[in-house]
Amino acid sequence: MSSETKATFIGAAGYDPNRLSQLEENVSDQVKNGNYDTNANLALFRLYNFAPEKANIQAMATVLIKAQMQLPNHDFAQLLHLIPERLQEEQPLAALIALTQHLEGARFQAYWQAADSCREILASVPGYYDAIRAYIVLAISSTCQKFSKQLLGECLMLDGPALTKLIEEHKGWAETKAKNGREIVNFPKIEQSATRTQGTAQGGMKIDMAQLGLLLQTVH
Amino acid sequence: MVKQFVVYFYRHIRERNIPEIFSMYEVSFAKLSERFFKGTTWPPVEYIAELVDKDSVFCLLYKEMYFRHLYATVQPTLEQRCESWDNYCAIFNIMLSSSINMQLPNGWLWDMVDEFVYQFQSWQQYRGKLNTKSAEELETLRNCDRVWSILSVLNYLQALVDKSGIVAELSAPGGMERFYKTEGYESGSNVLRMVGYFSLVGLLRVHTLVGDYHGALKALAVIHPFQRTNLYTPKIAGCNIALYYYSGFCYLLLRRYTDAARAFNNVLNYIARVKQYHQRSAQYEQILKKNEQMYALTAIVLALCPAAQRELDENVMNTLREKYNEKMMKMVRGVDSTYEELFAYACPKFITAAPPNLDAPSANTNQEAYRLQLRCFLGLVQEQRHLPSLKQLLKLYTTISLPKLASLMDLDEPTLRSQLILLKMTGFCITWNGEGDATAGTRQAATDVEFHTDIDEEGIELVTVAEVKPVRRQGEFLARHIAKFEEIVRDLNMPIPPPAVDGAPALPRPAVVGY
Repeated sequence: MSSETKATFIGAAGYDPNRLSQLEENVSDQVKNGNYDTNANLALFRLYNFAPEKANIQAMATVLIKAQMQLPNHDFAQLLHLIPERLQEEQPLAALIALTQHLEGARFQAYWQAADSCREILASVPGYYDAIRAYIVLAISSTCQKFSKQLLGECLMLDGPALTKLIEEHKGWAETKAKNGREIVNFPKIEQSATRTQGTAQGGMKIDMAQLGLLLQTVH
Repeated sequence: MVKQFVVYFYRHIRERNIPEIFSMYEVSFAKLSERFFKGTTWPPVEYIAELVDKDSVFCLLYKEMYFRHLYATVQPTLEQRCESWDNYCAIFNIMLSSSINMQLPNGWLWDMVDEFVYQFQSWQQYRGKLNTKSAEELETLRNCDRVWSILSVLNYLQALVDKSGIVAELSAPGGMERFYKTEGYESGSNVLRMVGYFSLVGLLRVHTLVGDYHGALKALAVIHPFQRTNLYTPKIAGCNIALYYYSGFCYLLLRRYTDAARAFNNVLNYIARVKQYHQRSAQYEQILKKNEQMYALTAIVLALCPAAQRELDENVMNTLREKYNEKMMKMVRGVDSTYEELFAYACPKFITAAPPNLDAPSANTNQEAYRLQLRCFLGLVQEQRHLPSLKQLLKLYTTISLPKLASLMDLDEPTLRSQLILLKMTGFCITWNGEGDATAGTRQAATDVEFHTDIDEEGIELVTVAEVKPVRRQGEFLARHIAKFEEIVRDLNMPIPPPAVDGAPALPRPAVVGY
């Protein structure tokens, strides 16, 4: 989809109920082309929210799956605010909501267990499992320096050659063994986040430009 | 008196005398309302039409003020609500057909957009209470499904934005600066241009009311709450407060805590600075209420993301501690009811966008929208409930084994592992980084505890904690002390005032602190 057509769902076009079918088609296009269009999806959910009797649960489910694939961004949570409570309890929406809660709460084994019951719909979106695994890898590797290989396999629902392949594909990952024979995966050094490097080095006083401006304003 | 008011008002509008129009609109109208029309309405437009040569546009404007006053004093009836809607449609249609050549004060134009959205919100609340409606009223409601409908409202606001060309004007090079300087009073009428601008804030508000937070920020288009050079909104208090209240709320619910804190910090400082000028204004109460609500929202932000404190100025932080220290402690301890209490107090009046089922008039749908937003919000709060105590424990150690930490937390190891990952992941927020519109941003760290887990040679899992030193706001601290010092020096150097003639001692100039 070109950027021109994307732009049409911002502004007036985003409030036009006659475009509902166009927006629903757009969802299938996103599945086909493997892209993601925040504003169009939001416009669709907005129009459903204004007229819930027109809501197409299948299209909603697809958009929610796409939004789940955007983790760690909170696209899913954002769409949830636009789904009337009554619809949130319908399947498969309720199941998808539960899945997202597991992923956000980092309960990965529970996620895989629950995901098993809606395999079909999840598999209907190409690239779904890759996106989810990428999120899980991000979550674990930014928290842990080393992680048990067996546990990693459980969190990613991979074992044997598939797991070895994944480890090899990631640059900087290495496998070691602890003295008690436990197999371990080493992740590359975790970058310390900005809070630590900002301004506090060596305890010297640093004043940035914004604050300096403030100072000069005072001393006039 | 009233006759005179109308006649002069009409004349000033025809003569495009902005200061006079504004003073009559802002001061005289309020005074006359207070004196003659307390608890009742202004004379209907038919009574004054003769005085103003039956000028149709003036009559529409008069009706706009008439209905605004009516909404503020008495409970409007269904008929009046419909009439007011028709009146706004008529005004906006004239603006959209570009046939307005008058100049009107910007303050009034903002009030118009603001009131339009308010009356829409009020209509939704009114319509939601079906259980108290008579059969006749239900019949009327059935027949006017377009009146105050959310799509009509959004389309009007968007049409005003589009027709005014404000987005193109402001995104042109130097457009912001020019707009800031001329305040829209240039080349012909200011009306459409300004109404277009204010409609952007109107759109922000309508989207927020239905829980469309991303759409709300997107609708702001060229207005950016964090690009404050040449930002026009601070010139109109109501507009500026609306901009930051709604955008801050959107950021909070989008879990962009640092941006939310930044927005609230900005406007809380603004209110502290300007509120003295509004003491006599009709909006004063409203300003104070929004001020309190935004402190409550800031308390929620800090409870969920303590690192967002770095966005707050010291004076805001101090006031916040005075007001909400106890409640913040409770929230940090994971007391859901405190979150709920503050949320309920400070959230906007959410509306259910879909029309209620008129065939089942026993229902009251007003709570639905609120419940939905609260449910989503509390879901998040509950997910993070263990994090504060986990953080507190981590701060006591530099290294601790996972099993030991689990027993201290009273959790099993797999749950603790999940909690640690959750803690890590919630330590990142999307934060605006100086580029793009209000929805743009990059994922940045916002955490007050730095840690990672590791496995030692023996195969035991460990958690290693690094200390995070908060960035001190040296500038502000020094500025405050310099100002204080200057004040003392000035007082010392001040010549002893000669005995004043009128007996009033010369007042020392108040010190400007912290801005």
